[in-house]
Amino acid sequence: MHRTLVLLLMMMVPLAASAEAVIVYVEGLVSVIDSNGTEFEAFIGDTVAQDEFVGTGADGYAVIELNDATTIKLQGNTTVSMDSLSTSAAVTVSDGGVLAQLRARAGSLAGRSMEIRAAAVVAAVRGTEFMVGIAPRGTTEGRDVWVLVNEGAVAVEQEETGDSTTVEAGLAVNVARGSEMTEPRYYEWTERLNWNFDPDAGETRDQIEIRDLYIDLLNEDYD
Amino acid sequence: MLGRAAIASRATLLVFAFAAVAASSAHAQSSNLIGTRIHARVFYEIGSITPMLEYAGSGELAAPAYVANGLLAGAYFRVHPNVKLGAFYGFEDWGSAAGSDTSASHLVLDATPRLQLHFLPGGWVAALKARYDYSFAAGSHTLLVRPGLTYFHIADYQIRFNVALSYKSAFILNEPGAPLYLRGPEANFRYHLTREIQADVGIGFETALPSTQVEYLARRDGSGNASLWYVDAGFVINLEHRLAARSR
Repeated sequence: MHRTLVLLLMMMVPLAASAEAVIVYVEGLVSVIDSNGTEFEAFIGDTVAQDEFVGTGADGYAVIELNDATTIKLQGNTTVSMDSLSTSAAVTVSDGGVLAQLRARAGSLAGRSMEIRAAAVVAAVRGTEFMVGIAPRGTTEGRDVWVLVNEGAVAVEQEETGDSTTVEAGLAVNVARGSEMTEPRYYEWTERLNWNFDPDAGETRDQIEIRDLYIDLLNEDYD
Repeated sequence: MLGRAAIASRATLLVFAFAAVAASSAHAQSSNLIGTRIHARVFYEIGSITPMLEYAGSGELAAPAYVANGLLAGAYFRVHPNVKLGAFYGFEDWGSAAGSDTSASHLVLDATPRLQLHFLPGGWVAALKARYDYSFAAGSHTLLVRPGLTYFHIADYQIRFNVALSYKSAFILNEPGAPLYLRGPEANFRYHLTREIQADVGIGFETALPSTQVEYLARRDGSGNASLWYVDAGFVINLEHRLAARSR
């Protein structure tokens, strides 16, 4: 059964809306699909409009400023759609993993909200640094969804079962097969995430990606 | 975490199983030859399609000795998470030390269902490779069936090595009753140097049964009845290319 995970990330921030997101860093293959379905290779400084898609290849990686308070990082093999780039930024993650940071560069975060959609659960997030990831297609029957928090706290709810939990900073929850809520706990692999969103401040790339948690043994070919 | 003793016991289990099967096969034949084989394969995954290019070479310390070299090119198609189909074109050249070279081209079709055995600890996969081969030169239709079991040792989110045991049986389809003409076990150890590059070494024992239509037998002593121990070593490169944002 296919389910849709919806992560509602509510943050109050007092900054003006930005009409377009800006790609501030890329490595490897990163592309944008516009509203006509045309795919373009993306470079640093390119803008992404609402309703457009951004994807990274296996070796790809990107940092995107959705507006002046919200920055996301796309891991490899990730696809996101830019659902809203207004004061209430919203993206949908259909593949891969996205780290997000809500941090006021000036003023406070009051008056802003953000929504991230993935599959099958609703999560209201009260945190400034968090990650949403979804297991690669075909690895499990129903795709695991991960929500982990670096700062603040996240309230996660599964829309259909009504199960909910709160994820505190330093912990992660795995919604197994998109429907089975597990208890938040510490996972060693989260230590390898890089919470630096500023390429000018140093390395931003993560040492581990969601896909690394899943090895598709049925895809191993040797002859 | 899996202990080293447990890992060793699983690998040992496979080796013992291989030795038992090989020993029983060896008893069935008296004239053992020794062969060496090498291979290099490159896979390039593009979504559900994976083109493959293979070089394989072999030699036997028989009288007269012969060597063979073959290229195989084509692609696998992942039609289901548990099933891959393949289509390949191959060219092979072989000859004895006396210089009687022969060559043949082949059409190869492959179907490989796989099943991950979640009820076993660690990563275990059972597979059944079925490979049809048509030789344009000899007009022979053969079918190789090779059930196998592979243990993957995963550490730090990567496959570190895998050990595989399989048993192959090959049949001649264009003879009455589709008789068996080749059979035997294989064991293989593969070390994953990186995610993309693996080196492997294997040992196998195969028995060729009487036949008049298959090129394989013509390369040997002509009696059509021989058994062979062989060592097979090589490397595999698995590359991946996924188009970003392929679909909405």
